[in-house]
Amino acid sequence: MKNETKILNTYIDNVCKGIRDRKIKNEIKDELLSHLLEVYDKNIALGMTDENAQKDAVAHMGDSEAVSKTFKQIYPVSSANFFQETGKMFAWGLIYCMLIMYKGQIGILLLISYLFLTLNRIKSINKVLNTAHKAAKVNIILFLIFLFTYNNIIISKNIVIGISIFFNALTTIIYIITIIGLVKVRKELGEEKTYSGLGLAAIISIALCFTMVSLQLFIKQELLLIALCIIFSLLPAGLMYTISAEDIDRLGTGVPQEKKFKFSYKKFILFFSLSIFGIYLLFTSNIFTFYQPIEYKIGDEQNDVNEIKDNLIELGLPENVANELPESEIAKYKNATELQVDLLPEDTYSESYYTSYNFTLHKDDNSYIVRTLMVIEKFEDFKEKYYTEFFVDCYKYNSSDVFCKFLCDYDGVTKELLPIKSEPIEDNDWKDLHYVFPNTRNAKKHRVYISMTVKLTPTTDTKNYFFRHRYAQTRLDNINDPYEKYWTRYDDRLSCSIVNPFYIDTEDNNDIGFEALFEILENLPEDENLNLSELESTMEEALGQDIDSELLENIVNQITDEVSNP
Amino acid sequence: MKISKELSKGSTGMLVLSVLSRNEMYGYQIIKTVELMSENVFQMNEGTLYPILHALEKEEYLTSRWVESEENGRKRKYYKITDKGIKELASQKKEWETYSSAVGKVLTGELITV
Repeated sequence: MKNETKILNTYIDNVCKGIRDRKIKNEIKDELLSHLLEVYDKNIALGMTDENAQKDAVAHMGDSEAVSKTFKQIYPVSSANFFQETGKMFAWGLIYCMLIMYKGQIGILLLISYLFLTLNRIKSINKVLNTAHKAAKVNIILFLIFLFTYNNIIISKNIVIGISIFFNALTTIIYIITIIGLVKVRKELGEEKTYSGLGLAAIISIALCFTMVSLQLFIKQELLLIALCIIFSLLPAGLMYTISAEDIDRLGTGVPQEKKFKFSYKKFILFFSLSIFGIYLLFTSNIFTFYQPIEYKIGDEQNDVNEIKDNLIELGLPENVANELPESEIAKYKNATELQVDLLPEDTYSESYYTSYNFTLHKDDNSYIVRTLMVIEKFEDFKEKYYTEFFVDCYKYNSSDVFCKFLCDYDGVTKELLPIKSEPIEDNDWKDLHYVFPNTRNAKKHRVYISMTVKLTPTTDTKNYFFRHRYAQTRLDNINDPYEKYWTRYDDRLSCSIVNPFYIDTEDNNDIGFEALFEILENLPEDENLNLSELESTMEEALGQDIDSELLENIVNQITDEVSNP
Repeated sequence: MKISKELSKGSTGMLVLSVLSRNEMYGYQIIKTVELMSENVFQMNEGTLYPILHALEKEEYLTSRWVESEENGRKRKYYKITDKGIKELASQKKEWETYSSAVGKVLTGELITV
């Protein structure tokens, strides 16, 4: 049919060539063709030749240039359409990004849906955007595949950055296309409109910058700056959204207005209400801390020592300690997600002190590493050689795979320490592991970094594994001297982590309960009978938390045996 | 009698609204209806009708829909007047009546000098 009506199609193409909006263009083409074919059919019925019938139909329509000009007056070339779409995408994209931070997956789904809808609108504007929208949709689908096939679907700040960069890149591309389009249609628009269009483009570019900066600032938690950036980016985006395209053009040219702006108050109120709601979510929800541990759960490892150090400080490691840690020590904590800090009680006598930091590190194979960083500092000027002993009680429950290893970093040298007595750890038993590491420095102030790694892997038995540090002490003399004479003993129990391989909650302080129990049973008068339920309630009252009765009974039996048969 | 373009230009929109106020029609049908009703006085350039229809639709005086023709299976775009269009038509009609009455008075009435 197309070849047969070549004259008609040529006429229609000439009429529609100045119309930019693809959707409108196609509609007008269909409408004109429908009309021309009716006249053409009538002419054919009257006996005209094909060519004459077409020519006559076209002649009835009038000069194509004149008709085209009239259509262009109704559908003028507007740079504002592009800006408006860009502005809308920014505005809604920003809101959805906030939702992602608050309600990760819901926000992402909303954002993806919005992107699809927006892209559908954009594709009709011109051919280039039509192609771009297909590429963008493929991009989105690939992103979704990545998101939902990855092991953990929990959203990390990296993914949010990724989304925002993707989003910003998409709108930047549209924006650049707009600039190119403006220059191209300069003749049609006229110089004045082109320059004003470029002025609008400059406003949008500023909005772009503020949006990207604000998203980066979310990470650094610069709240005041975030607020400012949101305002600066949302305002122009909001204006773009609520003002009509013709009004944007008129704003740009400064042409006196014949009629008032078509300003939609409803849209304006809706947009800014949602923006304020998004800002409210941002500042009232705990989203900053929400992010911190999640990044590591998806196996995102940091390799930069400074990044690891910053993370340790954020987790609670004192900055002065972090800054003095050797790099080799810092690198071990690259997967740290939680930190438990144990300090000496104030009333403990000490010539030196230690601080223990227990990190729980999660590996993506669902095993856990508990790493203890012990910082021992001496403030005395010891002239004699001294060494440090470290006692660990390790409890192996039900054939768990427990691996204990002591590594000592001393002056940048890492050394593995072997226990004095190398004995296998029996099931369901506490085993004392006694480590001694010599310190040969005579420095007044000295730090030893001891890290102990316990690797726990899940078994079919979901019982807890736990270990504890009993105490650490420093001896001033060699190991053969009677220790009572020189020991500076710190009996403070270091808290340890109960690591349940299936949960990461280390607030369960049953380890403290067991240490207390050990203490109680050790000091129990021989003739006193042990009342389990009374013991349980006493411990619960003292500790302020529930104790697992069955586990308690189990431990009591074993400790009782140990106490009775040392 | 052929009417000059300048004279018919301003009234074409009103004529289109008037025709559509009675029935929903497509473009070719509108042209033929206006020709018939005006006894061929108004023979508008078909090319000028469609921009007028689009302009009226943009102003929300008309709505449109595509309908597949039963005769030949081709799609036609039918236009229908809206409530806003009816009000606009009434306003234009009143304006026209005032104008044509005034013209008539000047042309045929008694001379009144200052």
